Amino acid sequence: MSFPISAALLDAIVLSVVSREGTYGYKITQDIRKVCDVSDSTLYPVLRRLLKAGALETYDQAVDGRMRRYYKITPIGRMQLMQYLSDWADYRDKIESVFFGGSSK
Amino acid sequence: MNAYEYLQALRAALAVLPDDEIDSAMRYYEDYFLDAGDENAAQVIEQLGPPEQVAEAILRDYTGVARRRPERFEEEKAQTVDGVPLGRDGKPRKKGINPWMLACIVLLALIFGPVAITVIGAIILAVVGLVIGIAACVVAVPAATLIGGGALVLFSFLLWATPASALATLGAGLAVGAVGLLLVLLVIKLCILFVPPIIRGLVALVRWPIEKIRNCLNRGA
Repeated sequence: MSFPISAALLDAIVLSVVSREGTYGYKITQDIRKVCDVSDSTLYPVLRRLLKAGALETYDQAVDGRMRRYYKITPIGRMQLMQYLSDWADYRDKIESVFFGGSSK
Repeated sequence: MNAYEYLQALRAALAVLPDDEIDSAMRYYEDYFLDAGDENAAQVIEQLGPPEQVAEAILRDYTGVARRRPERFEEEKAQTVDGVPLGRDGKPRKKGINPWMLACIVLLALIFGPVAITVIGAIILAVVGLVIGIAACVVAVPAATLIGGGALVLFSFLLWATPASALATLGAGLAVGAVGLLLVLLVIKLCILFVPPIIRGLVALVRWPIEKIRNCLNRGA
């Protein structure tokens, strides 16, 4: 795609994916690759940063006789995500008003 | 290179990090290979790229170089003419704050400053009071139970004239003391569980508006 994903947008996408259900690294990567073209190795630093910021937390759950590490969103993460969503709506409206001339305000 | 060799190379490349950082990253990538399945290992290795590159992304993030959102730097660099940054309207961006804006801010600060300081001070004091109150309850209840149990045990030694009541008091004292001890252990456990995340949360909460303000200022007045 011609529009690169910024660090903030990637944070928002990861928060959004994780906010739906507790999920794990491989699945998060697959979910995100469905919607945008990011390198697989960029995801761990994003998760790590969000963990450090208290936006995500981990827990381990037994799967197929081993413990798999899961990530879930915290209340702080939800607040951040809501801020991102409202920022995104503003941004989208502005860009679309240029692209499609006043179809949105 | 198989998954095992890949993970070994990754661990070696991360060696400069603290142990908990290495463990966390290795845990992620071990899970990643296991979840992808043996049959996809080659594909995963190809998509991840060389282990040194994966490690570099983690190291860069750890040292905080990437924290300042590089794409904004690029954007700002791109918007300069002869080293003078351009605003969003394409005119050279003024450095610092517009003098009128500054005058308004100073005036507002002079008028509302005392009120704001009083209100903010009151709120901070209220929060501090609340925290101290809760902490006092959390510490006092188990401590009082423990000390009360101890007191009963000591008191029972004065009652040996009537052994039955002395034994009853001793028993009651030991029971109360045990409950107190359990409460103390519970409080310690709860503190270990909840204090670090709460502090992290508070730091994030405080940092969030400051970050916002800094971003606004960076974008220019």
